[in-house]
Amino acid sequence: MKYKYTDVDKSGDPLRESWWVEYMESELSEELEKDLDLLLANSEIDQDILDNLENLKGFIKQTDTVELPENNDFYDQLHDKIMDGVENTHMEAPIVAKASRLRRTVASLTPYAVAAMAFFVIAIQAPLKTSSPHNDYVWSKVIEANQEIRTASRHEMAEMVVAQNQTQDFYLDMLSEQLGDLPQAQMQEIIHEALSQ
Amino acid sequence: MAQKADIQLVDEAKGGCKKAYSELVRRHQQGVLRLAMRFAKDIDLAEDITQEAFIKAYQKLELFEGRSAFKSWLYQIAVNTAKNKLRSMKHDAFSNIENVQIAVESEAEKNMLGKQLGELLKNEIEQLPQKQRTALKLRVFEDLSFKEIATIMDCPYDTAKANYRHGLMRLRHRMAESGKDYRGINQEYHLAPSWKGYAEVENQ
Repeated sequence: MKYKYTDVDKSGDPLRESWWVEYMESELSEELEKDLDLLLANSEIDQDILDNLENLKGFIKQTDTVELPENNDFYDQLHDKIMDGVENTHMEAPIVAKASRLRRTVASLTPYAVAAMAFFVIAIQAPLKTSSPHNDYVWSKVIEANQEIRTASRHEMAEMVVAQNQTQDFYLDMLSEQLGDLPQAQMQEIIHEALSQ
Repeated sequence: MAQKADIQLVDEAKGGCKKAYSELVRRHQQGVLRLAMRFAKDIDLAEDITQEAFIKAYQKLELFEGRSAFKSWLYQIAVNTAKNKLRSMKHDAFSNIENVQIAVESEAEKNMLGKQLGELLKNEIEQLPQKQRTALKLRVFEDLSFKEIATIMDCPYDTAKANYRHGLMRLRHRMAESGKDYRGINQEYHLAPSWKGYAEVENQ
């Protein structure tokens, strides 16, 4: 059947058209593709839609007018210019990579070990929270250290709290929230003071 | 001797081997240049974009973890560099293109008409929203998979596909709106009417 174009209705049936785009791009499941094959064999309208889309894609391809230089000298020079730039460039330190490396290290620990660490951190804070001049001193140090971390390494903390979808992440985040990036010496000092009371 | 894979060269470059990066440049500079040309439409500007993209890629190389192909990652940087460059130059590559008026349809002028239609189509492609245009160009001109397009556009797979689909469908409608019979231009090429339009024809 030959049809003539009358009018374009933008509110037509984009869903039906979408199916044929998916079909054309081989993005459908085998089962669905078979269903559409059947439809295609029996529907002239759908055949036209598919032909039309394929022709349009072919026509678009024909409009590709990008022409690149073909001589090797051009590419040699481009390569040299790029490498000159590279010579004067330093690779950036991998901040995110560091965070993910730390995350991988933590992930390699068994969840039980991480859970035990988390339990330990919570457990040592219970006596800290009881009121005594000594505990108040220790507790104020924890708060002070936490504040320091929040202001100094907010960016790093944000990098750390990237994914929430792993069990280990939960414990890691809990640890980060509790102690952040406390310097080890400071952390040991606090723990020592808490245990020696 | 077997050619080293990109990922091997990346690892060597991360370890400080400039020669490895040089090989990556040789391997991909033409592809990046072609991609840059699609945005810049000017060889000098495209060359700048290519150069900048490779240098940025080198700077960020430590962040490349090999979750996607190096080529896709590099193309992503090239596309972003091109966009930023054009934005900073306040260069709208598409605003200067005048709408092509089609006035001739005679048999003798079919070639001319075909050329004009090609121009019209190119113009319509450039009028597409940026994401649709990018997805369409990467798919049709560069023959990239939707997975690669998703990496380059830094979006989910389905979003990349939806952008392409909407772009293509929009083009089809825009071309049909021009109301011309395309069959003489590109053999069987003609645009189907909308469903509503179709129904009208069938009911006649």
